[in-house]
Amino acid sequence: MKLEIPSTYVSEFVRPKKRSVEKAVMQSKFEVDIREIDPADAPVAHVLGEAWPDESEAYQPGYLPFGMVDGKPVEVRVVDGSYWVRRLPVEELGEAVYSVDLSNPFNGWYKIGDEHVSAGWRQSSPDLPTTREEVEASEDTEMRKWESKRHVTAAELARRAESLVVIDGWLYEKVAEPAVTLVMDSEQVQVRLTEAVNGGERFSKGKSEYDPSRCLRFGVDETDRAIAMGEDIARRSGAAFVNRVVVESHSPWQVRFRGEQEYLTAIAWKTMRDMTEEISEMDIPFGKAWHDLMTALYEHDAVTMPAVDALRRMAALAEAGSLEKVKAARFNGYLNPGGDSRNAVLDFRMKEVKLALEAWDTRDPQGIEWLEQGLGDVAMYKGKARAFEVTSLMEADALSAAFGRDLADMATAASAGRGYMVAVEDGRVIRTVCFVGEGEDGQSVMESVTSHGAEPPREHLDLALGFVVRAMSRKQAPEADLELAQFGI
Amino acid sequence: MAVQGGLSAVKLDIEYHYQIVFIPYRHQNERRETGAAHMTLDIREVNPEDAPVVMKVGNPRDTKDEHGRRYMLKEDGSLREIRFFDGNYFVESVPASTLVSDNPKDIANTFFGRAKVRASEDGLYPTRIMTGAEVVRKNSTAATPLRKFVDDKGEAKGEELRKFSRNLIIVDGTTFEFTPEPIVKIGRYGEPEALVMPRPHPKEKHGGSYGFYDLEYGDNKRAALKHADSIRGFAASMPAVEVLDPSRSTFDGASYDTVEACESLMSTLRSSIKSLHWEALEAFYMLRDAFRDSGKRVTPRLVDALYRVSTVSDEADPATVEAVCDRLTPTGHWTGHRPDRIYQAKAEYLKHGGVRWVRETAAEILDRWSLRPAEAYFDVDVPNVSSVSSNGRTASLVLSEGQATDAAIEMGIDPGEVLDAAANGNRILLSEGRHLEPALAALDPDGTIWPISLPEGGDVDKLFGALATALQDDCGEEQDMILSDGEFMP
Repeated sequence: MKLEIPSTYVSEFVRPKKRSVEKAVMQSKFEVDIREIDPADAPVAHVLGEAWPDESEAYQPGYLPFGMVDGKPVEVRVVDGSYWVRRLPVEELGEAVYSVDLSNPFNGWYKIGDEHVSAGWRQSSPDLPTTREEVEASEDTEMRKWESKRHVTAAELARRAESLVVIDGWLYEKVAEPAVTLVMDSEQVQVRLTEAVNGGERFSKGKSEYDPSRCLRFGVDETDRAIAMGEDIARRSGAAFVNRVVVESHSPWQVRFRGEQEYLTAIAWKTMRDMTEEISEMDIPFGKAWHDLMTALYEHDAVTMPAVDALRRMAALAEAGSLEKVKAARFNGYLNPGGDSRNAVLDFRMKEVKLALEAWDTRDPQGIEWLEQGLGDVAMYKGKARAFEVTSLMEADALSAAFGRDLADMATAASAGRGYMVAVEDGRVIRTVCFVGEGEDGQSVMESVTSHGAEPPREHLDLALGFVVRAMSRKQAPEADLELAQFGI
Repeated sequence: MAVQGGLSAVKLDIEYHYQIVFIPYRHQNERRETGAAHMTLDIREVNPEDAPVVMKVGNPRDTKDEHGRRYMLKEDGSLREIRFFDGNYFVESVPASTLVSDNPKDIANTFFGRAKVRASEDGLYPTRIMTGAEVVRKNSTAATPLRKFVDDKGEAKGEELRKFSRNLIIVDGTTFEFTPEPIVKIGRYGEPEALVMPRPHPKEKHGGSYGFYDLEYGDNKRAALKHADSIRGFAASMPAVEVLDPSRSTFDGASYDTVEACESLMSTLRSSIKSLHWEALEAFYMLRDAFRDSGKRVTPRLVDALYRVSTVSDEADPATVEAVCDRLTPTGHWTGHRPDRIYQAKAEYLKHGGVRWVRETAAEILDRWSLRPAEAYFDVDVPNVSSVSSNGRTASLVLSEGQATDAAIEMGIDPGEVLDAAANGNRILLSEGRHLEPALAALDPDGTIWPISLPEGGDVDKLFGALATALQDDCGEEQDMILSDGEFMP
């Protein structure tokens, strides 16, 4: 479907007898092509929506990735493994492209080179010049140099059009997987919908950005659990509970997001950082827990089983009053102003840890995540190379996309506990993915895939194997349990 | 004239100097002239039998140290006497007749040297000595009066001198000046030359206000005069020393050195605590806990902890630290040093040698401790938890002759009594706290506590009961944890 989009673009010019390059914003119409897809090829995965009864400026429906249309939940369809959400009827598109907010699907910020520029229709667009002659007439001089950047904007709008399709007379926009999100602050606990991967560039200037340490997120199939948990948190903290989400139906096969690990990771980092100031005052078990948590987090970025274990120990020790001495040392009057408020931070962090562990313990991974069934160990390093375990479908999907290969078999086998999926990163780029485990015939196998299809380097395979061997030996001798027993916990 | 205790007093008429401050007419800045005043001081005269000579000392004549010079050999090359009177030590100074000398050169190095402005080599004062009236006459007329004229500093200075003079005694026509107990000390800088020096103040050094003795630099080697041989190995030269009464030379140098060095080692560890690997961090925790329990004493637990620090191994996996740090460090010139990143601190620490310095320092401290004179330490078993604190009071075991003597002198009782109690197989218990009166008691092997000296209204059970119970049980809460590791014993 061909469509004419009114938009602005930039032209660069130099005046006579001048050296500096100046810019003029111009208006023009761009022709883009939007794909049309047969409804049979695009099955409906979920029907859901997020609503804001008050249309306050801060929360325009246009800023919501999964905003309702006419007060009703919208379909999220799956095409080629990606999610598309219904926006507006095609007939309204001619009008919508003149809208100046994010309800215009062509409005947004784009990165051109190193610059962020906006495209789409603007408030001032009707007054902007259309040609070089108009600019020269208004400036009353002939420009020494003139370079139009129209083609750049045209390319960006064409790219933008690729993330739009027309299905059954409606315009659909490409989004990441929806995730049910508890946004927690001191006044209210809201249930909202966010994109599972915060990569929606069109919304990144909008309100879909979130702070992972204040948001506990769930897959769409866990809406009931999210609401129950949200109500519970609101009741315990005395905040208001607001549900803005309606999930009419969902397809369990199209859910690949689980948010507990993300929240636990965010809380673990914050807790570790806040405790760092106090390590010289801690008692030995707590110091050990801090050190284990710190090591595990830094070596893997996200929480792994050693980090979860350290967090459990921290929570248990804090419960047993291990932090009281630290807090007393901090709160000593005029020598330590603000000590009591920093103590309040410690208490708050321990509360958060408890909540995060609670969410972690009650989660239902359903083969979407398999950290506990897998090796659960932190990454292993060798020079610039780093081997780590892939423990979720989303990671596997991202790797599939990056490699251009289908890794679903590996992920399925790993989630079923038939082996371990190990990625090897070299120079901050993932180069090789290995599967170590038993094949269908029960024999132990090691498969490997590289991003460029060539034979994987020997050292990557060695590192991956070494990682598995180390993790297995650690799993068999769980040091941490012994330590906990030693401290009587 | 008779003063207290049947002692006589020598009356000295001395002249002293002070500052006269004034501002002349139409001037803005203060000017000063040196004024002179006279006063009569009473100085105690003591019989030689009441102030016996307990030791003789002689630093080399070329000693530069301000304090060391007080103990240097006399002009004729003979040793300087130290007398003990009324619980204090007094070091031999000039003949009493010199104090009243008009020649500033004579008194330059005496107690009264500070009473007058410093004289030049030829014995002349650099400025004219004036009276207040002279200053007024010289700097003002009736038409141009002084804007400000202050001539009352002489009284304050006189008071100060009177206070000083109480620290002075005269024995057989020779003045003796108050001194803390003279000890042997090896300074840190330059040639490792041992000198006789005053002992550090027992209170101020640890947890007091900032005082004169805080100006000392770290890792000193100190010993009582009678134990001077124990640190002979560290020194290039030793001063001439003769101890006539060993019971008056009891300073516990090994404990002082060890505790001070421990403190500085701990502060070093604290400042790099984020960079330590677990073994080192655990060793730090153990040292910290042992130090808290030990107070100013060196307990076996503290020695164990030091031994553990001295045997901490290097980071097991420096390559991983390096790799994690590399991966975290953002590329680009604008991202410089990020000190909040723990692994960057770790990598930096490894680059500078890691825990090697810490290990070596702990080993040095243990070396110093191993040179202690064994006979000066009580032969008692010390459990892991050897001090009990409550309500700002800490009850602890006394472990050495020096500590017992310090405590006894502070309480004004005879140290011999305490040492006898210790020699009879009792444990000596001390209870002290900041701004609180200390108490001493003896715990006999049956578990009975005998008070030696208590503050007014003090109750033995209240002060020492908890500690005695802990000692009888012979184990504390934390003991199991330490012993479970078991692998380290010096």
